[in-house]
Amino acid sequence: MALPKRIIKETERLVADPAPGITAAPHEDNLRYFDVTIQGPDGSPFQQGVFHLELFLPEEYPMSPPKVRFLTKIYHPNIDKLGRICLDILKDKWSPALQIRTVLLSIQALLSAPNPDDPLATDVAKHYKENERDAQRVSREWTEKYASQ
Amino acid sequence: MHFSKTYTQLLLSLPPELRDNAVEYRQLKKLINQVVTELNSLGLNPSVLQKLLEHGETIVGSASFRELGESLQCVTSEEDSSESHQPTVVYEIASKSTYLEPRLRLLLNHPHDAATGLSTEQHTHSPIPDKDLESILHALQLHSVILDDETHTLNDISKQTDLIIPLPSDTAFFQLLTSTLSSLSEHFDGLYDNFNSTVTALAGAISSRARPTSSSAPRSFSVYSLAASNVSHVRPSSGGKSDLYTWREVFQLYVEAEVFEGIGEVNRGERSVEEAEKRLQAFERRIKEKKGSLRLSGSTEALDLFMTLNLFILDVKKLQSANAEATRKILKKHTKRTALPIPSHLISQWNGPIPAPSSTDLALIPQPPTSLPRLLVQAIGETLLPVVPHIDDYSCLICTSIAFKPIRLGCGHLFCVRCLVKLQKRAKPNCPMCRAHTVLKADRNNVDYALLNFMSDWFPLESREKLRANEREAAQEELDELGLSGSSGCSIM
Amino acid sequence: MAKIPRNFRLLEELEKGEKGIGDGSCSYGLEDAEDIMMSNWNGTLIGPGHTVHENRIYSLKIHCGPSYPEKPPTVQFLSRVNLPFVNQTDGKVDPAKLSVLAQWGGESSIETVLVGIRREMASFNNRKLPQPPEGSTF
Repeated sequence: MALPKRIIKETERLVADPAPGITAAPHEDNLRYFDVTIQGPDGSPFQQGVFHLELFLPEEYPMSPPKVRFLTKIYHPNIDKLGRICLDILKDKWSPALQIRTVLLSIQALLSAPNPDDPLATDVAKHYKENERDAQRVSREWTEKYASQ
Repeated sequence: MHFSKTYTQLLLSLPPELRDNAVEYRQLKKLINQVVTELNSLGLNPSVLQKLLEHGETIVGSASFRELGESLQCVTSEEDSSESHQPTVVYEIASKSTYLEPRLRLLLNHPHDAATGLSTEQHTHSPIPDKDLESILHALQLHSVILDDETHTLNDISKQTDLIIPLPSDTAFFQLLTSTLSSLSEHFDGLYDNFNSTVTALAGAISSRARPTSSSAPRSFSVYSLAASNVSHVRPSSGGKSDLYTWREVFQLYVEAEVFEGIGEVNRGERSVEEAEKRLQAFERRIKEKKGSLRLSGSTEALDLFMTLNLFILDVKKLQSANAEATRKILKKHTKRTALPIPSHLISQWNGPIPAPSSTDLALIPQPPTSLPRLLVQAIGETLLPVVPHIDDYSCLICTSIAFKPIRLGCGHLFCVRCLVKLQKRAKPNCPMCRAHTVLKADRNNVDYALLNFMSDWFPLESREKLRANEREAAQEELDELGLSGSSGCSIM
Repeated sequence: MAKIPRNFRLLEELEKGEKGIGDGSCSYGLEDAEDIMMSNWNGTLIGPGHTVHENRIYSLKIHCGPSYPEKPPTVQFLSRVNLPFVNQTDGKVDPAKLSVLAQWGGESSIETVLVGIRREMASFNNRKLPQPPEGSTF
């Protein structure tokens, strides 16, 4: 089936005018499947890290949200061991007015502002709540270990 | 190649109305030579002058020049300098509005005053006077002018005598430079006005050739136009011929070319002369093929004028950057040849409130008030381009095609009927834009008929195509819902 | 239809497996909960009633390669079992002899593999096959 006009437009813009610190490129054999990288935001424990993600636009997109997952290991209360992300706009707060770009920017923002009260990785969230400094230290270690270029 | 030569060549490539207002680099260079001669005649060759000024710097403690306001207030600086017995020289520029008068000031300390002051033995940082310097200074006193009464009073307090040495050639240098720059800035104001009226006239010409051909009620469309004033007089032409689509393409290409300013997230901002020139040429090549599709008389001429306007902006940009470069170079040369230091912050004051250019290097260079090329580009963007409505302003945020038929939700947000039906089928109550609970309440009363007519007028092809696509999609969906769709069965691997 | 990439397909299967499927006679999950590529899975099935397998619990390893789901997973019994499609030295399932793998398609999944194996256990030819002692492994 032909790719919807909206997906073509979004892809063109993502490639031609990427958001700072974010890249997204579609797979040649599946134009709904994107290789994504997000730079860890400055001032966060993920600074200097480059995180790989994968993103898929299901048949229902944009009526349904894109599916996104981290491929790089990351120590973050809202991202689990398989890279799944707990973010409201990827679930019940999705709106068809949102785009791939806005989703990726939101994920980048999530790296700057972890939310241990709405955790996916409960042990990491516990760590963040009980001893934020130490948890951030582990986040930095993981960033250096798994997300350095 | 020498700058002087490149500069002249560049100016020759510009139209006379721009060229005649450029900074006169050669003339200024000659004046610098005169300044040097003048200083030499005072015995102040660059190396001597440098020593004297450096000496002055140690004494005054701040800088080797002094800048005087209109009141000619003199810096006496608590007279910690009076510890020194050595006469010193300070380069200062007196300014009365735009009139600048550079001169040298001699500070002469009387030895007997020092005896009454602090002991000279404590003063360690003052260099031993050079015999040559002393004799030069002595000679200078003969050339100098005794200061007015006000300063005398100050001098009496400080037990110091100041002597002023006027520098006529240097004054001529600054006069030429500042008057050129200020007349250039005036000239730019005139250019801007002319440009604006040309753009407005062109906007009228283009809008009458890009009017819609359909006869459906055009009353409403000015409401939706971005620049109602420009299109309000336009009515659908009766002849049924229009260059609407060609003009739309031309403007679309122009916007995409980002000739003078980048709008992307990475390459945002004003472009360099070279980059703008390259992009303008690329744009020109691309619109050449469009020229053939212009059918109405006057359209081709309008397109040529449009190109001319852009070439003019490029020329202004060239002049501005060459001027800035010439000014920077000539000031640098001035300092190098004469050893007279020029206060950088003084330079930036010449033209009043100047927006700081991006690079720090340029910040020292006088610029005409706000960037003229920018204003011209703005005029095109604000007056000309809105004459032809752009589809992006009328597209559905969900499918990104034209929002046809347009449904206006209770919260005011606009979507195409297809996407709205999809939302309703999925029982999504929130407006995708503002999350207001307006989606399920929408019905046929939410069709925006005024906008629907406007779209059929200005985007006839897109509206028809979207209507067909909507019908196709709806039919397919019905089949899917009935389980009759062949496509899903075939796709099983 | 949009082609779902391997990883998102496996994530869907994982979520379905975590919720639990059917009557609980089959279950599966990741061997290593941190395996970002989700390649190795554990499966468990309870022998169907009224057969020699009744009340026996069988453990299996399922490996989904990089070409999954275009290519079927490889399946290996950990619990000893006597079935015509199971290699009796190492427990590996011969994909040619098991219809759910031989006729692998777009609707097939880890779940359909387990369900298919269980159906084979209850088939007329296999339900009475003599079995090794309960609890023994390959």
